[in-house]
Amino acid sequence: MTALLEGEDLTVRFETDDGPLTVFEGLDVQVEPGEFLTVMGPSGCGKTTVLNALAGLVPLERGTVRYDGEAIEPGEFSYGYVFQEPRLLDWRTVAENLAFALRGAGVPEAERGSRIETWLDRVGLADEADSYPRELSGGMRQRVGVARALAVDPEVLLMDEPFSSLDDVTGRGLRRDLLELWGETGKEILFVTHDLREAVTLSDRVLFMDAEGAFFDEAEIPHDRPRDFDDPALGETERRLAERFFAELG
Amino acid sequence: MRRWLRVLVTLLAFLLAWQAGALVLGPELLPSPARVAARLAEVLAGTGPRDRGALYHLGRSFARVAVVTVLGLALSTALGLAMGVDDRAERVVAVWLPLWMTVPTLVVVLVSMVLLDFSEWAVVAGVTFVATPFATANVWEGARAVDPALLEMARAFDVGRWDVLREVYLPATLPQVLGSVRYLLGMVWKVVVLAETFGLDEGLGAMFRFWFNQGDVTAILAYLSLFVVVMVALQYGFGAVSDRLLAWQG
Amino acid sequence: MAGETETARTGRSDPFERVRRRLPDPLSVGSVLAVLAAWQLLSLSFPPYRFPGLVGLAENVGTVLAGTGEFDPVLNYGVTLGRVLVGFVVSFALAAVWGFSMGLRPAAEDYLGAPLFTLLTVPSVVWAFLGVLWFGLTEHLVPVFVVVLVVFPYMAVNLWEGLGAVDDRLVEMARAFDASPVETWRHVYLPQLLPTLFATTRLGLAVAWKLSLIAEVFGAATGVGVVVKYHFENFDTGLVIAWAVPVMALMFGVEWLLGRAERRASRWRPEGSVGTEVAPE
Repeated sequence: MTALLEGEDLTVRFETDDGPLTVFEGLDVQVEPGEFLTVMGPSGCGKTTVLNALAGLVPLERGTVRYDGEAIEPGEFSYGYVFQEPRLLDWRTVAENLAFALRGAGVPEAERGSRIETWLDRVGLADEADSYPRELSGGMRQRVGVARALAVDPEVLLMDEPFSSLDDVTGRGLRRDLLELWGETGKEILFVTHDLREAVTLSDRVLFMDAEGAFFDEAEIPHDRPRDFDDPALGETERRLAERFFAELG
Repeated sequence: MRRWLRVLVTLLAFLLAWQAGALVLGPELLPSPARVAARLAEVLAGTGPRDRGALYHLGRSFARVAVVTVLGLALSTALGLAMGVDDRAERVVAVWLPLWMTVPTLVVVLVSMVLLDFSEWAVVAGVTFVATPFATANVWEGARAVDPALLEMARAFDVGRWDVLREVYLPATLPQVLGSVRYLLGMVWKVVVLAETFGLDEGLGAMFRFWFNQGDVTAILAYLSLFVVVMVALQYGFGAVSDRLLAWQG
Repeated sequence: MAGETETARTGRSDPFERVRRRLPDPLSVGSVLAVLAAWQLLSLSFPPYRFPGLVGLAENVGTVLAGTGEFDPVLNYGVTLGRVLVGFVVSFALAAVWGFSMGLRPAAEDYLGAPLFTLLTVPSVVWAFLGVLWFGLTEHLVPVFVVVLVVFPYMAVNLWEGLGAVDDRLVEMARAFDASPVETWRHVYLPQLLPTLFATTRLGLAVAWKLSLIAEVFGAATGVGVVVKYHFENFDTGLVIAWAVPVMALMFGVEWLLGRAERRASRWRPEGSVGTEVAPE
């Protein structure tokens, strides 16, 4: 069962050659149980860093992370990460790539095979278990990344612009599949993108981030599911939000 | 196919030039290819000094080369990987690496021969010392070049240290490791021969030294031909194996 | 923006750059001390003329440089240095011609590459032996001969591989903008080749030194190699090492200087792979 994921007073700073760089400061974020929350912002605003901070991949200078009401070390909760690039091990087969993550998650050997089979099937890659990443298209590789994240059976999915590098057709297909999987599994998703249309189509709620790394607005997306990409109502919502969004960004 | 033809052409051109040179310079200075071939046949058949054939000496040299290559490979891979993976290891070793590479080969070999009493170990220790730093630098370079995005992915999935080493670093550095082997194979032979020239009775280097003392150019050229053929065959064979191992690169 | 690129892929520069920036660093210093201590310990297992302790080594080097030993350092180092330089220059010229010819045309690669790779398999001692048998114990010819035959293939291969670094698209661009051959050479080819030229020079000099010593053992009457051989035959390895120290210092100094020049020439490279160390027998 998923639970509330909270970040409070999150602050991330880097040391660069030109001095300290503050990515964001004093940020608060909550992901409701089972919610599909999207963080939207321009490139370079720090939205990926929010994900990485919660996942413990990037150190927090300040702030607390809580899961299910309890304060935890960043990353010490059940999550699966889908990156912007597939980040697959080129020298391992698709199945071995999943096994790699399963071992990390401590899944016993006996169970790995069936999980790999299940999830590859779910993303439509049942026949590619023994293929190498090089033999797959970009969309297929991303699907392997999604399967990998789901195979560890996480409560939360962290997704960093996973479809931004795909063409329209492939991206559409994957977005639809993602919504389907989400519907079936009831996971909590924290999604990051710079594409407003994608945010509106996929999420329950959208957080807007400005170039300085601060949340300046928030919007509920009230549309019923399943959602149809071509639904004009969605287009209307997008337009309204675009006005609000770009007004702020100037 | 074209390629082989060209190489063949070059070889023929070389043989022709050799023959021409032999005619001009006479058998004392430059024996003809035919003479050298005849001598080679004799030498292979076993009418060398102490009644040992060329193949025996080749075998002795080969044995030493094998030991050095294995040792050098183990050492350089361990060191190079350690340096690439762990910052501290890097700092400890990198401070010595340039110096290690600068030590003149002759000196290492001579000192080693004397200190270890012209034994097999003298050869092995000396040559390994000469060869290891270069192979290490190679592997290190490769380990440093491991895609940090993949390492981050491994962290995101909580993959354990040894798993990361085995599944990410090792395959990623395989080209460098193989490059090291290829390099070692080429270089070690030559240094072993050098070592054998100084006071050993068995091995190709010893044969070169013996025939030099006899002033016998034909014999030297015969042994040289044998040596070159073996080396080229080794390099070629290794290249084939290497290509197979790196097949996933596509 | 740094925020979005925490998987910061810094431009891959010279591996020793990072180490250099951190010196002096306790771990490195400790490592140096540890090795020195190990040397001292090892020297206890051998008589001082075989494997001197650190003090003994320093004394030996002093003796060598002051000329109070059996051999004149100025003469011997000078002669060896001369052979190295001559050998290097000849090798460079040959390698440039050969390497660039190989780069011009794929066919040339096959014709010219095979002899090169074959030459690379020949041990330097064999060239030394043949050299002596062919030329006799002339003063400089044999060592230079050996150096050239071994060094130029290394350099030629290096240069040839470096040619691959030249971006054809930029050459095409130069043509599209009607740049003259001189302009193209100066602004397109040369900057891209400069790092390779430096790397090849470093490589060539390093190999030439080591080769010269080996060649001199069998093929000359003066030179560091000859001195080393003499001491070797008397099992005076302490002095063998002592004679090598100034050579190493010199090689080190030159390589460092060239390395700096090379890094400066490579600065514009996004992933500056500053010539990987290769070397020799």
